Amino acid sequence: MALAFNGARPSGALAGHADTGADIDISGLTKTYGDFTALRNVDLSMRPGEFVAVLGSSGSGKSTLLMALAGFIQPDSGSIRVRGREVLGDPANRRGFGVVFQNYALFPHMTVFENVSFPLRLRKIARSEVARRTEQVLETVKLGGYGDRPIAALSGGQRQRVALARAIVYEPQVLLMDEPLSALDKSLREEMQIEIRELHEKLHITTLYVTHDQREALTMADRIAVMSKGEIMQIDTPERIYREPSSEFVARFLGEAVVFSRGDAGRAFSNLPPAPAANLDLVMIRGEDFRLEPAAREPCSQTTATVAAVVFQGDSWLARLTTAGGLPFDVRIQRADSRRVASLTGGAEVTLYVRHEDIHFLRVDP
Amino acid sequence: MSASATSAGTVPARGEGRLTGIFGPSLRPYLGLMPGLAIVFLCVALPCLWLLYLSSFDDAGRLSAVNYERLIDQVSYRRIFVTTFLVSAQTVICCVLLGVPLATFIASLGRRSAALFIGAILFPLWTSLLVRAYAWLVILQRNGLVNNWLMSAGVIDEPLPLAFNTFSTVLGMTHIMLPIFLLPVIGAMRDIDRSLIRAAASMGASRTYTYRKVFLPLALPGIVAGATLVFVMSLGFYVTPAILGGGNVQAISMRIARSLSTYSNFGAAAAIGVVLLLSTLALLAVSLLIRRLAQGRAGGGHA
Amino acid sequence: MAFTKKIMPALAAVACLGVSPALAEGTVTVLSPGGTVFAGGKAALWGPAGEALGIAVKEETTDEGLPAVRLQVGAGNVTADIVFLADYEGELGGREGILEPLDYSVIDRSKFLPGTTSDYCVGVYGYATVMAWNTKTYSGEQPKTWQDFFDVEKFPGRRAMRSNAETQIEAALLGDGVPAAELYDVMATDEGLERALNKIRALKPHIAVWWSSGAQHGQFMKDGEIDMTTGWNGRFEFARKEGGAVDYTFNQGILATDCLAVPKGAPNKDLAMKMIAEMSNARSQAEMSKYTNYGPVIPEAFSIGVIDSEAAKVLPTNPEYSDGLIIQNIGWWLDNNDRVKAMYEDMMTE
Repeated sequence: MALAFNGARPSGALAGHADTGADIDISGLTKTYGDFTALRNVDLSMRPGEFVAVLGSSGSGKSTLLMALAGFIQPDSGSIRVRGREVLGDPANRRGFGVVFQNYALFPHMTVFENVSFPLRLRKIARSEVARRTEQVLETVKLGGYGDRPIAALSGGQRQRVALARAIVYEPQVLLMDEPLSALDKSLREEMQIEIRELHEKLHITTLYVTHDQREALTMADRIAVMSKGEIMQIDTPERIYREPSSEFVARFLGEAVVFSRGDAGRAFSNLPPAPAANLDLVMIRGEDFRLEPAAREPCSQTTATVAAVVFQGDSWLARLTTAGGLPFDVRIQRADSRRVASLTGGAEVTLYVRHEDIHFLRVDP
Repeated sequence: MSASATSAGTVPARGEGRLTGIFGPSLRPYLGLMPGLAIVFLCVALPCLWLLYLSSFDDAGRLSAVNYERLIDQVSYRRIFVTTFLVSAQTVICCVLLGVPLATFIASLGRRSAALFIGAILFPLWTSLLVRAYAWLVILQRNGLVNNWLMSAGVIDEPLPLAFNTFSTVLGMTHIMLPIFLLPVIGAMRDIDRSLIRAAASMGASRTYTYRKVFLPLALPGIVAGATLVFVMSLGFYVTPAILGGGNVQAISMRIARSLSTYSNFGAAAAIGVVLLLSTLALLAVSLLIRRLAQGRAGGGHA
Repeated sequence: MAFTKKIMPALAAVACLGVSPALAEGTVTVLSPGGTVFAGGKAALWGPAGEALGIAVKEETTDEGLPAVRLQVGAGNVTADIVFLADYEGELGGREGILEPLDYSVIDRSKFLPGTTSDYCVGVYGYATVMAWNTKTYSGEQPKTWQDFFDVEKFPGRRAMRSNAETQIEAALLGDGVPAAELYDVMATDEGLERALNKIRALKPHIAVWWSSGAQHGQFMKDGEIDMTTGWNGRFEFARKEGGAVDYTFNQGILATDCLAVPKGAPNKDLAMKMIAEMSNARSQAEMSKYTNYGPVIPEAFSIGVIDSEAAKVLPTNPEYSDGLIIQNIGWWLDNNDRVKAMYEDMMTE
C-alpha cells in the first residue's frame, strides 16, 4: 500500500480521483464527547506535498483532528479520504501515515537504530535493506553514527530527530506531526523549524503539522488552518491569513491587532476609507502598521492619541496609547522610526498614520 | 617517601572542613537515615544473625556444624529443597501464564473498571489460606466436584488423581499468589506510555506485534518483580503444600515446622532457614545479574 | 469506701467458689489441655480428688504441655504442680531433667496396665493407632490385621499413612508378620528397620496421602477419599458416628498414653504427688472415659459398672482387646527418633 517517494514529488494524477487532485480530503468531520464538541464539521483538503499547519490554542480541537486522521479517534461523522479512498474504516496501523508525537513516543527499551528501523522490521524487509534505509534516514536527520545510542542518552533535539526519522523511514504518503517541538527550548525550536521545513522541501511528504505557536506556523507552513472550538476559522497562506484575517478571532490570534468598532474608528481617525461592505462593522489595524509620519505617495488615515507608556523590546518599541475618545490601544514602532521615538513620552500627544491598504474591515464574530 | 610527604601536606587542607565534629559535614546528610537503618538492622539483620547463631550449636550446646552436616548427609533434605524450588518455580510459571494476559486486560480498562477488577483480585487475600486450601480439596479430591462431574458425564470411569500431588499444590499456590503477582505487573503496565502503543500502530504494527515488541518488553521489569516476589514467597509456603500436597509434596517450611513443634530442635530448623535464605539470595543475585546483562544488551544495541 | 467494704467479702466468696471450701490444706495448679480433656478432668479427676483431699485446685490450660514446662523451669518460675503430657513428652521431660521423679510410695503403680507408668509420668488415659477402612470399598471380607493393610492384592485401594515414622514402623513390621512380642527386638536392629521401611516402600504406589494430623485422616475416611489408613481410634469413631462408611479394629492397635507429671521445682510438689495418687483410681478414669474416646489405663475401670459394654467397645484399653493391644515402647522411640525419622523421610521423598 505504501507509496514510494524516493524524494520525488508524487504525481497528483492518480487513477480515479483527479477530480480535486487532493492528497487528503477531510469533510464534515465531527466528534463530540458528551456536551463537548471537539470537532465541528471540519473540512480540510491538502494537496500532494503540501505542508499545512493547524494552529489553535489548547482545547481548540487541533490534536483531535490529528488523532482522527491518524486513526486513534473515531469521529462521529464525516469522511477522510486519502487520494480519493475513504480511510475512516481503516485501523491506525493500516493508514500508512507517519506520526510524530508531542512527547516523541520513542521506545525506551530500544536503541536509536532499533527505534528508527522498527517500521521497516515489522514489514519483513530484508535485513540489509533495513540497515541501509535506516542509516540513510539517520544521515538525513543528521544523526549518522548515533544508531547504537540508547534513547536515554539523547538530548531533546536528538530525540526529536529520531522521532522524525522513524516517521519518515518507511516513506509514508502523509506525515502527521503533533506539536513536535513544544518540548524544546526556543533557539533549538527555531533551528528545528527550519530543518523540518528543509526536509519537507526535499521529501515533499504531505504534512499536517499541529502547533499552538503562531510563529512556528508562519515559518513552516504552506497554508495555515486556524482552529477554535472545534472549527476551522480560516485556512489560507501565512501571508494572507496574517494580512487578511477573516475574523476578529483570527486577527487577534495571529500577531498584534488593534480592533475598533466602525463608529469608534470613525471618531478617532480622519480620512478613513469606506467599508467595502455594509456588514463589516469592525476596523482592524496591525500594531506594526501605525507610522509616525505619513507615507509618501499612498493615501493614509490619521489619528491623534495620548501616550500612556513606551517599552523597548529589542527589535521594536511597544507603545500604549489612548484615543481622544479614551480608548486604549497598543502600537509597535519599528526600528526605522527610532529617531522619532524620543518624542514619545508619557502624556505627550502624537499623530499616527495608517496606510489605507493596512486598514481592514471585518465582520463581528457571531 | 617524598610522595607521602607531599600528600600528607595536602590532606589537612582538604580535610579541614570535614573534621568539625564527630559527624563531619560529609556524614551529616546520612544522619537522617540512622533511624531507618536501625529498624532494618533490628528487623532484618538481627533475626538472620540470630538464626545463624542458633544453627551453629549441637543438641548439647557445643559449637558444631552438625546441623549443616545433617542437611548434606540426609538425602531427604536435598529432595525437599529441590521439591520446594520446583514447586515454587512452577507456581511462578503458572502465575506468569495466567497473570500476564489478565494484567494486560485490567491495565487496558478505564480507571473505574480497573479499580473494580483489582478489588476483586485483592478480595481473596482477605480469606484464610486454610479455607482456600480446603476449598480446593473439595473440588479436587476423589469424590470432589471435578471427578463427580466428569464421572457422571461419562468422560472418565476412574476418578482422576487431582488432589494430594504437585498439581494440586501448584494450583492452590497459584490461586494464592496470583494477586501478589498481578499488582506489580498491572502497575508496570499502567505506567506504559499509551503514545508508545499508538506510535507502533501508526508505523503499521499489528496489535500482536506491538504487544510482543513494545508492550511486553516495557512491562518486563514489573513481570520480573512479580515473579521474584511470588518465587520467594512460595519458597516459604506452609499451609497450602501441607494440605493440598497430602505429604507427597514436602516443602521446606513443613520440615522446619516438624523440627520445631515435635522435637524443639531449633538448631536443625535454624540451619534449614539459613540455607533457604542463602539459596534465595543466590537466586536473587542471579536474577539481578540477568537483568543487568539484559539492560546492558539493550544499551549496547545492535551490531 | 462503703461500697468497697461491702463488696470485698462478696468477691472473696465468689473467688473461693471454685475451690474446695473445706479444710483447704493447700493449693495445686493443674496445667491441662482444653476441650473435652479439661471438661472430663475437672469432673472426674482433679475435681473429686481436690474435694476428697481438701486441696484447692487452680486450673490452667495449654495445648503445648512440654514447651510450657520447659519455659517455666527454664525461667526458674514454676507455677504448675501437675501437668498433662503425652507419654513421649513425659519420657523426654524426664531425660531433660525438667520433671520431678514421681513418688511411687504415694502412687500405687500396681493397678496400672503394664507400660503405662514411667519414672516421671503416670498414665491417665490411652489411645491407639489402629487401622481403619472404608466399608463400601471392602463390603465383603473385612481387613483384620496389619498384614491385610499391606496386602493390596487382597484389599486393593488407596492407602494413607502418617508422614511421621512413629507407630508406622510398628505397623509395617506387624504387617510383615513380626509377632507382637518380638516387635521392639526386631526394631532394635538395623535390618529390622530396613525391613519395616521396605514394607512401606512396597506399598508406596498405593499411598495417596501421607497424613500429618488426626483431623486429616478422620476427614479422609469420612469423605471416602482413602480406602484404608492408619490413624487414631477416636477420629475413626467420630467419622463413623458422623455417618461415614468407616470401620476400624483394635486388633494390633498400638497404644500410647497421656500422662500426669510434676515439673521440676513445682511449688507444691508433695501435694501434687498426693493429688496424682488420689486421681489414679479406677472410678475416676472410668468417669473420664465418658468425656473422651480415650481408654482408662487402670483395667479395673472396666469392671466397676461405670462403663457399659456398649461404651467399652470403642475404648482401646478394653480388657477384651488386651490380647491384641501393643503398648508402644516410648523409650525406644526417644532413643532412636532422629535416626528413624530421617530414614523414614528419605523413604517418603524417594
